Amino acid sequence: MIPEIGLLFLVLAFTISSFYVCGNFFSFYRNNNFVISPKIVYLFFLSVLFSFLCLEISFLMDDFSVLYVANNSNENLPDYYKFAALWGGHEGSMLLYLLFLSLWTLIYYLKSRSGFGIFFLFVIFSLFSGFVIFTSNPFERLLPFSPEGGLDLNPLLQDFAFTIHPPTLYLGYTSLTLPFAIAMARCVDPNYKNWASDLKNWSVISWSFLTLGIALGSWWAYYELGWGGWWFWDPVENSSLIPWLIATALIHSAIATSKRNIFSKWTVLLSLGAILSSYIGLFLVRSGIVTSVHTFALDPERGLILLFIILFVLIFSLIVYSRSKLTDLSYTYGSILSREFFFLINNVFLIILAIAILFGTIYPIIYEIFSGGKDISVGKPYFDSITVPIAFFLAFFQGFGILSNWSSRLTEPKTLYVYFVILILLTVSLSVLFLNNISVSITVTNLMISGILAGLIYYAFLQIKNSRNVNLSMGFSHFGIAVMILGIGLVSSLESQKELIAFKEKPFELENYKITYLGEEKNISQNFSSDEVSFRVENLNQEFNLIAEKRYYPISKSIMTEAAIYPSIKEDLYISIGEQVEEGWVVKAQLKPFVRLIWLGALIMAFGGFLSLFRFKSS
Amino acid sequence: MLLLISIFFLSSSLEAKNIYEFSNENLEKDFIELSQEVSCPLCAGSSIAESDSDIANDLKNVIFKELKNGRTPEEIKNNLIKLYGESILFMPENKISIFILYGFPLLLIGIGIFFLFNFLKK
Amino acid sequence: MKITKYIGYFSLFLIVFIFSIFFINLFEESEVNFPKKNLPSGEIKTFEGNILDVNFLKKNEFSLLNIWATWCINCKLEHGFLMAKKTEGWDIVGLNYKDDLDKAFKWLDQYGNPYSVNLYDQDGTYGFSLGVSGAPETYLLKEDKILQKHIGIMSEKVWKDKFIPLINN
Repeated sequence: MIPEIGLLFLVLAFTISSFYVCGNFFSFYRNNNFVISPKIVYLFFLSVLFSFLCLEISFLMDDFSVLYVANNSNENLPDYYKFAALWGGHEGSMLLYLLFLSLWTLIYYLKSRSGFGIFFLFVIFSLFSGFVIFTSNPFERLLPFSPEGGLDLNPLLQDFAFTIHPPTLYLGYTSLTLPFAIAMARCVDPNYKNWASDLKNWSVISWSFLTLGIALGSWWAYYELGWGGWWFWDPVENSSLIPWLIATALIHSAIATSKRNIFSKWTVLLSLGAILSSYIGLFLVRSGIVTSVHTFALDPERGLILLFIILFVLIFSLIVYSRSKLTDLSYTYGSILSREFFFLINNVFLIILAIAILFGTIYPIIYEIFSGGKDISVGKPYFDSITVPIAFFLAFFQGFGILSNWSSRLTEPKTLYVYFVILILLTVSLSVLFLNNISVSITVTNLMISGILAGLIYYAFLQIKNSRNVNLSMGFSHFGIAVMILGIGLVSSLESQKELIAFKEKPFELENYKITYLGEEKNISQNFSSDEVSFRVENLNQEFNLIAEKRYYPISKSIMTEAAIYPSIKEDLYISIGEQVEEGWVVKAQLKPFVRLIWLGALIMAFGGFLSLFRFKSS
Repeated sequence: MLLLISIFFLSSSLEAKNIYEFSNENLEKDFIELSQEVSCPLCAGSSIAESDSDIANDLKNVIFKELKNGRTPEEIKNNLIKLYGESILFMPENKISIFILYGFPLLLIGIGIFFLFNFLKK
Repeated sequence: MKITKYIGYFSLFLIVFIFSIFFINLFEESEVNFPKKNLPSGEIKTFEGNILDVNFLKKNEFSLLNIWATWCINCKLEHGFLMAKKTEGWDIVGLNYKDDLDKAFKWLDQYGNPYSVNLYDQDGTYGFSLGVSGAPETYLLKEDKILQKHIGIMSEKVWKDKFIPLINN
């Protein structure tokens, strides 16, 4: 019964949103501001919530007569993984997506000043809930055959990060609908005052969740996949990076629009671009046209329907946009040193990077069509070589951009000179720190972070000196980027590894660590058995033991490597085991200096983002 | 981004066996480069150098053997392409693709810079 | 500004281009343009312990070569399809890939044997020369040529889209 009730609740939510859209479509044309009773919005959200809960109950009660539960869960899974398994496949993750969409709709309704915004949110919800109900029903039953057990959740997903990474990321994706809805609302209703600051606030929230979600994914891949990598330029990873880049541009554009009443067309179009790029990502992951470990392979028919939905949103939005009257203040293209111009540079390059990454991601598909079916890959070398130069310039302009003034109060050239002085001083001092490891990539990293830090330091100094408020939110976000760049630069330049066959009690060396394979122990857990291989690690000041695992999952018959990680800010010691041979194990030991800075940087960035909601100011 | 791989030869005081022992440094360099250029077919964009999966290790073994037998990296790459298709390599070998892949971002950057300059003209 | 207009048109063109690519790709799911390859030579063991030369795989009729293993869960899901094809009269040769022979025997006993011949590639050497990267994979063979390859679960849909067009030519 419960699955059927779940479906019913979902249909109820779909009905509410689509009736509202259809019913109000003509008032929308006549630009009347339409009201919606709060009871309806609460009912709408609660329906989706209850639908979601029904599916969760099916999971927790091991109801394998539900096809989706059978495919993604197993009675031997610990409860918290059964809970998370709901978003382990396509249908369930779409339901999670819908849950968050309805949640943001409710929150927006409670805080908003525009009825039109709700209209557009309901349009989006109707489209996607329709998609789920008609093509991707998570409540579909297997009856009359009810299997005795489930297939099992993919072992890769039986991990803590899986319980938080998708939800965080989805919170980011779904909240991107809000800037979009606000932008559309403004297009329809010129009286929507403060639309830009509303839009800015929601963009920052989305961006912060996306930052966290992406960082969680990277961290998870690092310790779970067992290979020590933290970014693979996988199509699905790229699908999350592209909306993030556009959301970053959106935030800056929205700030300019709300503060100076310019770039409003950019803001609207970027809002549209952000949500569209997230939909393209959704499509890429679920249509099966790119292969990746991340994809939910759908049949092409469903992919086609999804594509039509996205196309519909695009065309609909462009029509709304073209009928709108967005008037900006005329902008005096005065000085090159104005903040407006730096924002423009920032956005242009962010957008270019986003498009270039998208291009690289879909190039194999393009090539396949034009070459008559040949498969090629576009991987790390390409993406690294386009990202690093663009990121380099962005870091540079960031630094000075932070210092620049809006053109109402021109930036003095003097500021530029002082900035460069600080920049050079910083660069030189940092070079001294890394004297032993000087290389091209270290120098590039050095320049990038010095650029940002010089700007931040001088900015803080100037603000305090002139008794003005220091924008902590902006400060932390940009500082976070610098920390992340530092982590990326250091780990890429300084990492080292050793891959060999280790024999019992025979140590080997990696930099200043002495590592000895001690032995292994067999273990049986709820749904897997494992070999736990222990190592003694000694270095100048310490001695400790590490255990690396090889896990065997009988139901899905897969083998997972759980690396042994000894983390610290300064470096991670990362040991993973391959296969057991003769009297030893194939072992790969890696040193990852400062890799934690990457995720710490992301945390700081997100913290800065969330901080802006509290309007902290310090004087 | 350079991956510093320090694979030392057997050192007398420590006894662990290297998986891939090369008789000369050039071969070793070729091996490292090749491992980074060949992608692991079933992994999320990792090279066989980074990945630990079965197929990655199989491929590494094959490359190791072929280098030892005197085949050039070009020959090995072409052989792998024959077996797995061009998607086994991270970058397409054909010139047109490389031109388009790098040309398009350059075009975008050109447009961007042109746009920015235009913006400054009063 | 005029340039904004051109950029607008360029972006629209890009968007249209991207969507067209996606549409075409979805419609064109058939990989009929698999580059024909020759079956690589070699010798493989059978389940009974005999050593066969790969030449025996070269037949005048179409046949299938299915790569499978007991550790491969998706193989279970395509098993029904293979059994159905066997009943229809198709010749399917099984290559058990990097597996345990005892387990393989038990598996076939338990679920049914769709294969006319059972080959055992314990360390994957022959599979490697074929270009196998895992299981399941299915190859369409005729004479000494490999005409098609499918990575993943075989189903009626894959059969119709990828294999039938080649068989009918």
